Order: sequence, then structure tokens, then C-alpha cells
Amino acid sequence: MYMLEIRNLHASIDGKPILKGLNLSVKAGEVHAIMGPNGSGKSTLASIIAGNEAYEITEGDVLFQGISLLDLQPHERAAAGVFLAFQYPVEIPGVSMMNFMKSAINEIRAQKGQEPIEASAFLKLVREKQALVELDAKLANRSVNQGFSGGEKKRNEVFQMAMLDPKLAVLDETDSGLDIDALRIVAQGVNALRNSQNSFLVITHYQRLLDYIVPDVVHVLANGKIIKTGSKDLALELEAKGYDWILETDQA
Amino acid sequence: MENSNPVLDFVGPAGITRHWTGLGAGLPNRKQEEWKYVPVEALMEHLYPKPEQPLSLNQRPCPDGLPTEIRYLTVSQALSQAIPGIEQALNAIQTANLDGMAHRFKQAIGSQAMVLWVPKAFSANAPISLAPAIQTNGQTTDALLILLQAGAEIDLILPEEAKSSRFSFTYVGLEASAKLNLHRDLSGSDSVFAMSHIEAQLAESAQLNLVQWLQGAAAQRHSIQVNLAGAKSLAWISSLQFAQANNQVHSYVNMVHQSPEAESHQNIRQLALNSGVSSFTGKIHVALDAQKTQAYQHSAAMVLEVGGRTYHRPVLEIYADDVKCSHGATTGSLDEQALFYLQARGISKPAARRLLIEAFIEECLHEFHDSLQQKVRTDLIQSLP
Repeated sequence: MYMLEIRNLHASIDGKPILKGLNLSVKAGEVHAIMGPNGSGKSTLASIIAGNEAYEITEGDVLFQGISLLDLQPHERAAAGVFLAFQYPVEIPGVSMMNFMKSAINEIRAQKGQEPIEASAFLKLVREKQALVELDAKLANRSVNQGFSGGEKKRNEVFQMAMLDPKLAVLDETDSGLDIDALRIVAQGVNALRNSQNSFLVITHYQRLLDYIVPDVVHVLANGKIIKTGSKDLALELEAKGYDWILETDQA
Repeated sequence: MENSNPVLDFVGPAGITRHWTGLGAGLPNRKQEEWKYVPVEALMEHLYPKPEQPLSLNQRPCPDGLPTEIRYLTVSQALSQAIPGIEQALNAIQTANLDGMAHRFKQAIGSQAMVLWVPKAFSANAPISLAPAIQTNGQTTDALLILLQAGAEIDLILPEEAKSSRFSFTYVGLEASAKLNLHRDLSGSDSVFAMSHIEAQLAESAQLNLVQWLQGAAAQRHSIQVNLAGAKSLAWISSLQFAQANNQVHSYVNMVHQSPEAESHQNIRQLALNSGVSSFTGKIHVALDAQKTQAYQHSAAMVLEVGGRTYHRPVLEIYADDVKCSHGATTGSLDEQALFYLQARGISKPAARRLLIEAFIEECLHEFHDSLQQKVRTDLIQSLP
């Protein structure tokens, strides 16, 4: 059984088709990279997997461990083990990071019929995962993403991922806006979480992230569907040649 | 008077007709632009004409465990015992420019109102809570004078929760360096018609921190007048207003800076559900001599359902030329992006909505006493769709 299996997915927003027959299969333990030009539908795919209601699914299905995600609310998907690291993490004034993380963990535990996490265990987990992404402990006292730098926001996304320990993590351009050091730290965090039981879908524009998070498979998404799939070398080829050659090949 | 109508008894048939006529005509629900040059005080005078009939007051019972240094007695007793400050307070009330509703209390205060008197430099260890006034004929009408002598300091909780119509007048007299933290719970059942007025007089370096929770009544109108009469006096007003379906919740603040170097803050949060209407009218008046004034006003509103309405009406009247004054007003709905972000982390939509709403009111709510904070949260959770 695949961790993620997308079958002939068609999706639109405000009546405008974005995804036009996308197929993708990801096994447990694999890291898949999705690259593609602007407007190809990469972020739409990420949002649909997480359950953003702004998009309308007109055809196809998204299966997570054999179960259709389309039947689940976003919070149910998170409880099942799906995580989206946002391209633009949302600032939420007034909601402290600690209150937010504790609410998230306890809501997921409640959906699984588990007791709320004990305060000492929660704090221990926070310290451990903050160290993983070298996140300043002071940020925990602030409101969610408020006043965070671009790099801190992305590290905070990986911190949340580490806290929730998902089975499938979708990283939507987590490398955008990061300097080299921040990129390395974020990638270190992701690599530390990789194991044979989970999977990653890494959406990126640039090959450099894939120097740190080495993918098993690279896909090119253009005009709403996967037009080419290859090994990690495909990313190097895209970096060297751009997207035009592959788009021309697809049209031919 | 077994068959009397409490609301009609109080404002009279003409008054109640004018009230509903006013609301029906869009007052205070019209566009802000249309309000810029409207003399609201005169308008309210028209809506709530000064009645002729004398008022009969109910009394809040004496709280248990009141420190022996603090006196709780009627105005008549305070006068006969020559309690310091009582005559000045009565003079201030009689000369105050009160509108129709509050004006009516003037006639009754002289004998029936209660006085909470705190002696010089006394500081209470624990908050004092005065239970709601005892109802008669399904109505409560109470008047309270809170007098703090120089350097005194107390936390006072005034629960007003009632299943009746209610009208209240509160006078706050703070002598030099006195400090009062006043917490008001003005929630009630849907059938309640509630009106109140607070008149506060602050001497030099006195501090008033007034917080209030307005929720649940069919129609509420609450006004606060703060006179910063002493230099370096300080007033904080935090008001949380929640208009549920068919509720009208209206608050008015008139912050009058009369002396130099005083500081004031008005921090308002409004929430409105379907067909609920909430409004805030806040005035900052800085007199010519009140140099080095700092006066700030911020009102933020969140409309939680289609059909809910919120209004802000900031008014600044500044005659001094060396002041720092500001006002700000925002209106919005729940942020869909933030809702999705929380849901994507495993938090259900209702819980995410609660989290965002609590975050919206948090800046105001943290000023409330712990017990009232908990009540506000419970009230909100029970009332949100």
C-alpha cells in the first residue's frame, strides 16, 4: 500500500482549472521532490492534500494509506498523520506558540482517544524539538509566527512537524527566503525525522535544497500534471537547462 | 403596582417609544460619516427625556467579610456621620451634566444610594465583590458611590448579572494617589433591558482601571464619564462587547482631560453574531490647560456571522497643543487563512474559531480579574455557534 496515491486529480479554484489529471504514488520511507515553473499547480497540490476548502476537486482521488483524504476534514487529516509546512506561515496574533502547540497535540490525541499530554512531557518534547531546528526558545513565548523572521518562520514549521511527528509531510517551498545557514538547519531537521515509516513530498523551485534533502524521486509538475519523473539527477538537469526543454518535449 | 412594566416604569411610555424609534431609525447604526457632526448628547437627551417621577432604588447587600476599615452605608448615614468626601461627591453628582437616564438618579441619590468608603492609605488584600442589587417587580435600580480617600487601593468586582431589566448609576471619587480596579460583569438574559452610567472624578495621581463585559441583553446602553481632574491621573478602560442575535449593545465613553500630564487608554473589543449590533462611541476631550496629556483609544471589532453589525465612533476634541493622542478602529471577520493553518495542525474548526476569538479579545481580557476572565470564556464558548 502506498503512503500517498493520487489518481487523476483535477482541481479548480473559482472555476479556473489548476490540476488537470495529476497522478503520483509515494511509498513509505521515500522522499519525492516536486519541481516546476511558477503557476504549474505545486502549491495547489500541497493545499489540497492538507484539505484547503478553497479548492474544488472536480475529478480523481487522493488516497493516504489507502483511505481517501477527500472525505476528511483538515484536522482529521492532521490527526491521521498528514502535515503541511506552509510556504507562507500565517501570523496569528494573540495565540501563543505554546498554547497553539499544546492545543494541536491534545486535539490530535483526543481524536485518537488518548489522554492530554502531561505538562512535563510536553515541555520536554518542546525542548528536544527546538534543539533539532535550533529554534530560539524565546520564540515559544511569542504569538504564532508574529515577529518571526522569514527563516524563523520556516524553522518553526519544521519544529511543528517534529512535534507532531507525521507520517506524510508536505514541504511547500520551505527553502524560499532562507539563507544558506537556515537552509542547512531546516534540512538537518527534516533529515533527522526521515525514517522507513514516513514519507516526504518536497516542493521546491531550486535544486540546492535537494543537495541537503536528497530525494529518491524527482517529478516535474507543469500545467497541472506530472510531465516527467526521474532520479535526483533530473533536478541537476533542470538546474542546468531550465524548464523550457522539458515543456517543449511534453508538448511535442 | 403588580402589573407594572419595569421598563415603562423607569423611562416612561414616551421614553421607551423614543428609544426604540431611535434604534429603528438607525441610531446609532448609521454610517460613521453621518455621525461626525451630530450632537449625540443632545440627541440622547431627546431620546431619554428627564422624567418627573421620583425613583425608588434597590440596594446591593453588604458583602460578607468586608474589612472593618471599609464602610458600606447609605448616603443618609454617610451624611449624618460626616464621612469625609461625601458632600463633595454629592455636589459633583448634582452639578454633573448627566443625560436623561442618569439624570433621573439625581433625585434619589441623596437618600437611598449606597456608599462604599475606603479610608486614607488603606489597601485591601483581596478583591471586594458587591452582589447585584435585590430585584423588585422584575427590575433592579441601584446607585452606588465609591469613595477612595488619598492613597487607598482596592479591587472591586461588581457583578450585575440579572434576569431582570436593570438601571444603575455609579459615582467614583478617587482622591490623590488612590487606585481603584473596577470589574463589571454586565451580562444577562436576552429579555433584559439594561442601562448604566458611571461618573468618575480622579484627583492628582489617582488611577482608575475599569473593565467591563457586556453580553446577552436585548438592549444595553452603558456610558462612562471620566474626569481626569488631577495632574498625572491615569484611567484605563477595557470593554468587551458581545452582541448575539437580536442584541443591541452600545457603550459610550467620555474621557475628559482637565489637568496636565494625565494619561488615558480606551481599549475596546466588539463581537457580533447574526443580527446582533454593537457600537462604541468614545470621546477624548483635552482642555486647554491639560498640556502633556497622553490619550489613546483603540476599538477593534469582529463580525462573526453575516448580518452582525459593529460600529465605532471616535471623537477627539483637543484644545491643548502639547499632547499625544491617537485613535484607531478596525473591523473584520475571522481570518480564513489562520483558520486553515490551525486546522492543518489538527485543531477542529470550532476549536480553531474559539482560539482565534480568544486571541482577538486577549489584549482586553487579560485586564479582567481572574474569576471574571473565566466567566467571559465560559459565556463565549456557550454562546458561539
